[in-house]
Amino acid sequence: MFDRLTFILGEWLVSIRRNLGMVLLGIITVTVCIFVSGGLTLTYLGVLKYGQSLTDKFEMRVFLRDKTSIAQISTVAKQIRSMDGVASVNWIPRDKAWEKMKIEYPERTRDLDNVLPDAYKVVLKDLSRSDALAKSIQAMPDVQPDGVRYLQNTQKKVEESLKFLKWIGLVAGGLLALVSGVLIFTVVRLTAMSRRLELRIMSLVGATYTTIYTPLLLEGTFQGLLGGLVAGLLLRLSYAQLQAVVKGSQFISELPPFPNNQVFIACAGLGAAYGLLCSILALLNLRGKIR
Amino acid sequence: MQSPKPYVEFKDVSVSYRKQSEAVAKINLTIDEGEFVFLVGKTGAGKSTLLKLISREISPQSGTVVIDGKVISEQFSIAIPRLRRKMGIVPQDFALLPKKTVAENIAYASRAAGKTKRQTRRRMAFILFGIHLEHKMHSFPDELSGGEKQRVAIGRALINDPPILLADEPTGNLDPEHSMEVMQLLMNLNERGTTVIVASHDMMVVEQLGKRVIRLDEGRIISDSKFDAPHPAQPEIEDAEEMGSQLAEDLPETITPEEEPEEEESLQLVEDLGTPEISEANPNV
Repeated sequence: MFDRLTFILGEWLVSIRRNLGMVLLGIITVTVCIFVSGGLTLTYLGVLKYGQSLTDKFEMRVFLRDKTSIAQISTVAKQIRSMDGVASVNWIPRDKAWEKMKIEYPERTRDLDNVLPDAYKVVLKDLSRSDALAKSIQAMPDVQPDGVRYLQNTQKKVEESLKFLKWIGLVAGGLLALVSGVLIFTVVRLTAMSRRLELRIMSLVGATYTTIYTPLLLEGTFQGLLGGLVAGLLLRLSYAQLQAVVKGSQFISELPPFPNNQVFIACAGLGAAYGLLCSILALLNLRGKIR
Repeated sequence: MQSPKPYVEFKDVSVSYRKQSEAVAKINLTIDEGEFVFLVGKTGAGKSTLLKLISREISPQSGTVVIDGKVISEQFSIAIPRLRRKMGIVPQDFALLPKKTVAENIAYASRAAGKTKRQTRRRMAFILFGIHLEHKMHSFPDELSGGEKQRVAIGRALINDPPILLADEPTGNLDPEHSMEVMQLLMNLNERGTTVIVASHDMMVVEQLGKRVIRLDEGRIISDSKFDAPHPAQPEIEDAEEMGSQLAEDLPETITPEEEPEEEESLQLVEDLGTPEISEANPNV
């Protein structure tokens, strides 16, 4: 068993040595592919987390028309509560709001009667539903025209960022994956072609398929694995740099620690699986061409 | 006397590479254990196709190929390596690794076939001795003559100690002198019990050796010396001793002038070169 293993590993090293330049190129493209895709994924997850954290703070103010009765206030509150995406609805009586305003802005409210309407504080649980909710609430007859106020712009920006990241991740990551896949495929194919005499001899003397093809499959897997690990390392370094920048800033809260294990396992696993897949495709493509 | 058991059997075997032409058509053939058989015919006659059918490089469109009682044409491809380990295959182009020495070439094949380093080392000495290349074990293929290269290819085919040896045009790239050198080696192996099947168009060599000759043309067997009367084109050699002398003349490398054999040795050489088979195969000679 050990003897067999040393032979297969020896063959694998010969394969790598024979196309070292191409192997390095393959590793570099896998690294770039996984680094870019991984970076975009981490950014996407960060923005998503930020968006989710916004929902807790996300409050909508709904201002009612003048002279709305208590019964009407109660009915409207019930209607809003029953809407999908609403976490809670709290009535803000106009008198209480005026009292608070007088304390906060005494100069502006001096000698004035209460000008505020009754209102609700609506807390949302689903950020993506806010537009639809605002429209529905706005359509209620007891709500003032333009009586719904919320952080529409922030939410839109978060949503747009997520959409952009998703697209750029798919396009850039996909293209890079394609390039690295083609490179691994070509390297394995080139190796097989450059070693066709050895493969033929092995086939003639009855070497098992494991002995013949494992070194070539290992070659592709190795490129993917190494590319993934280097990409993981680069992501770690970039994140550390970002953490240092954020730490110096007064406006951005500190970034969470880098998920070392998850990132390295994901990058290496993804790279190795992708390399193996490309090698299998290359060998299937060569089937019958090497006897 | 016990009749030899059939080792290779073709039963109504047909192969066509393209729809228009049949490489072999309805071939029925039996080769016994320990036999030495030449497959002859012009290019495209179907010689190599028959060898490829035996080594399962191709499968027949119809019919069955049986080796040692097993229908190999119906075996799954996963079983091919096991099958190949029971046969030695000698390709026409030697297929030697140029950057490996003679010993390394043989060792590489042995290790690829699943032998351990220890097994390889043990077998190596035996093989090098058998192919008379102990003194060239550290030479690279570029430093060898055509005959020596072919002997290395034969040696490599012996790593599994196969009961059957297939050689596709083993003398195709060699001059007559080296051709006889290679043939002698194959005959020696045959004398030890190995079934040898050789595809060749080198009629001079084939006819000199007087073994079973199967002639093919357009994928069909047109004659088989085992069953036919001797072919008129066969050499008119008066007796076996003359045949032996002729072969000895063709082998200057095996017998140098300084080592000219004594009469007794010369007779031994005649025996080594397979004269008895000539008499058996062609009783009229």
